[in-house]
Amino acid sequence: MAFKGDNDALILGVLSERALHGYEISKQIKLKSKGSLTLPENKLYPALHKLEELGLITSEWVPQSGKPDRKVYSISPEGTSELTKHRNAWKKFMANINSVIMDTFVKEGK
Amino acid sequence: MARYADWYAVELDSYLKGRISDVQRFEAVREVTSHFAEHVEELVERGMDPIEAEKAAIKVFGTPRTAAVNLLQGNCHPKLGGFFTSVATIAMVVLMLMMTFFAFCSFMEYWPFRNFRYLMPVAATTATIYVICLLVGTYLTRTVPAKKLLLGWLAGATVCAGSFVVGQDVHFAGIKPREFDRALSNWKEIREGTLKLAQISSDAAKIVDKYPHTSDEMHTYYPAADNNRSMPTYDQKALDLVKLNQLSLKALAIKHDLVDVVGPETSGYLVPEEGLPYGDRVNGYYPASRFVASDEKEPIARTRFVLAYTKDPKIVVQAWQNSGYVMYGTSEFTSMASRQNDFINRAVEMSKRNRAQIAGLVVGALALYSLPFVVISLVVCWAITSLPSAMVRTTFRRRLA
Repeated sequence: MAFKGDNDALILGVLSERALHGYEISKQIKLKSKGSLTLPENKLYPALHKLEELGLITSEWVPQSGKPDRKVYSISPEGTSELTKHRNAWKKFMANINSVIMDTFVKEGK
Repeated sequence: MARYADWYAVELDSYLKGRISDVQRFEAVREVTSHFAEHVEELVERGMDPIEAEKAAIKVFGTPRTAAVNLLQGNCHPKLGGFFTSVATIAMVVLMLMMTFFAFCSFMEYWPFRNFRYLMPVAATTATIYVICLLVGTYLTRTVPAKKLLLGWLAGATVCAGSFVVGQDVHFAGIKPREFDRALSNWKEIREGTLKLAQISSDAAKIVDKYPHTSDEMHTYYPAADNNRSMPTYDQKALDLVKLNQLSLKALAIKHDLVDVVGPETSGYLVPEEGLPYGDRVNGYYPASRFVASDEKEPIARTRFVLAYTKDPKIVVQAWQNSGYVMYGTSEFTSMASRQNDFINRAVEMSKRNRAQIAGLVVGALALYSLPFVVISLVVCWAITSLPSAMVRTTFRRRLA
């Protein structure tokens, strides 16, 4: 498969806009993909921990009044360059797919 | 009042305890609890009952055990645990191959079995490695590696079955099929020899019984005998019995490797070497043992009877009489012949089997030996993984009460 590690790309993608906590990351992915993509909670945290360990994201505990503290994640410069690589790979992947399945479609004028 | 979220946090904590650092554990539980609270809050805002909202959140997140396993995936311990369970799987396959070899030897009466006895401690060591790695791996990962182990078991069984079906000649006791008839004839000859030895021993006992042993017995059988005379008359009688029973001829008719004849062959009588008076012993020494079990080259049980020649009829009787104390007698030879007979019957029966039948027997034995072992291991692993959960539930019930 040409496009691997998509969970990491999705997380980096939503964090590139702003810092988010775990639950919000999960919600944003679902919201932005209009419900077509979901990142289950049981996959989310292992992925976040792995990205943090790799230094692609950073985290910070934010206290809240009357509620449990939140661990907020933000993308690091390394994470941004990794996201760029993911974006380029995805562009290339889409172009390849298009050339296979869309060329005939365009030629037929549909 | 305790809530589901509390129970979830406590149980999740118990699964993570000892498997990651305390700081990591604290942060992981805190983060999951925060996520849990956010989710519940959102559901409550949508109008759901708080308890139902907590239940729904748990359902989305998975059981504490599943959540713990997922959280541990990014940690080094599960990797280490995976390594241990992989080693356990490899050890189990090796163990199965060894057990199959033993089963094969056992079923085939394969003589190298005795020469591979040292593999038994190796098998025991492998079994120990299997158990330790399995338990350590299970402890670290908190998952019962049932699929991995059962797949390993099936792989081992398939390899064993395949090797027996296509790789092995059907043979018995290391004898190839084309050589089997000759070997069978040899084994039958050995059995006949043992029966003859039993007969010789029986005949010798009759001679000794006929001979008066004490002065009182002598007077009972021969009232006119003179106390001061020794027994020349009875020597003659014993000699007649020796001739009548044809001891020497019978002994000579026995297969040579069953009888060791000590000293030069003469036209005299064959007697047990150990029974000879000291001065008449060949080279003046006792043989190490009168009967030698020979099992190095062939699996059939055998005896070797050590005999010597003598021309003196008195010594013939005396030698048989003196040999009365030795442990092998008619009954021992008969018993040996019976064992040899069993072996021959088994050999004839087993020589008729084909490869598929042997594979069936060996793999059946393998299943019998190793599957209970695997099942017991899996039950122990299951107990290890379930124990923290059971303890937490008990604590939680106590807290609820």
